[in-house]
Amino acid sequence: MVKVRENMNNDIAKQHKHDENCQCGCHEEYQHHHHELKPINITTHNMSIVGSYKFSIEKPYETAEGILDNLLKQVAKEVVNLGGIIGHIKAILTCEGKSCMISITEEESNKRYIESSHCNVEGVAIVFYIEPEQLEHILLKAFSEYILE
Amino acid sequence: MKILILGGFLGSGKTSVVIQLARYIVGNNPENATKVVIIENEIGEVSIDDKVLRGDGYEVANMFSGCVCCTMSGELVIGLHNIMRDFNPKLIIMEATGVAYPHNIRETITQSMPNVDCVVTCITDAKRWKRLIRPMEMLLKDQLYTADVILINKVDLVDESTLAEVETSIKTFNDIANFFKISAEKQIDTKVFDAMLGNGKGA
Repeated sequence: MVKVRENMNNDIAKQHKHDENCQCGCHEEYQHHHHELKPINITTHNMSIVGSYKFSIEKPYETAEGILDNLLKQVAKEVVNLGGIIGHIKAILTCEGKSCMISITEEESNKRYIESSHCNVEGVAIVFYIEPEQLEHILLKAFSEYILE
Repeated sequence: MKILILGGFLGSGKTSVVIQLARYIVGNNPENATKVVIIENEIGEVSIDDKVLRGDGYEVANMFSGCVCCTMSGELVIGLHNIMRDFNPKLIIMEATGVAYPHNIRETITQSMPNVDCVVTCITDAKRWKRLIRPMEMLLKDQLYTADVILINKVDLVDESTLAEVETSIKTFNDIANFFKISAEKQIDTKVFDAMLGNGKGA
């Protein structure tokens, strides 16, 4: 019986879109997936409010570095303006860089170089003495342009 | 085997110290690398410090989405047993989250592994200390009070009188630890690492 239910859930999960009225009974799985896809996620740990974020900047590395630097400074400023304490605001910026497509149809290879302008950002903002909703608002406001890209 | 717990508030410079400590232990002998395991514990859904350490060429085990001093203490013990079984290292460096209480981690470890030598080093941020001490006093106090070694980091970013004030303030929480003033952005004196590792011996 249990096995049938598991299979049903798997099939339903594949075939339909979940919403708040959904009766499929597999919302735990849905919430997990949804949670993974969320670009900004706010959690709390003891006194700290932790905002985790992931987004892309469709610019070359050097440009993206400057943009991210300004965005994080903007977040820091807004946390302080609300009377919060900054624990640590940090992010890692990675760029795909140069790519090369090598193609062979006979004996010689043909190479095509591609300059990437796609950078990924992953980061956290750990702060104190503001509300989780306030941190979420700050991060959404700062990163809105790139989350929607 | 020895476990070095590295604690201290967010942004105090724990990862910068771990990078230099790992370099010191490994030295010019790559065989030494197999004797040390670094565990990174981070809160939040995204891990950053493990990527920084991997960029330096180290294998890093990451325990994130929770803090091992409280919500993940069970996972810590299981993780340590697995590391000991799989790698049999001489030293495990455990970088705690910036909101962890190192004495809780030490208590968890010594309760389940009474034969393991567990030492605590706590790092403080000289530049931000005066700004943080009022709002974060309880957390800072609880992080520091049982530390064996306390590193006062970022001393190059404050003047002498501020540094003296910071040191006096820190010593109200723990005046029996072994104190060192450092700038983790620059080369740290090897005697600091020897003190952190205990008995003046490396791994």
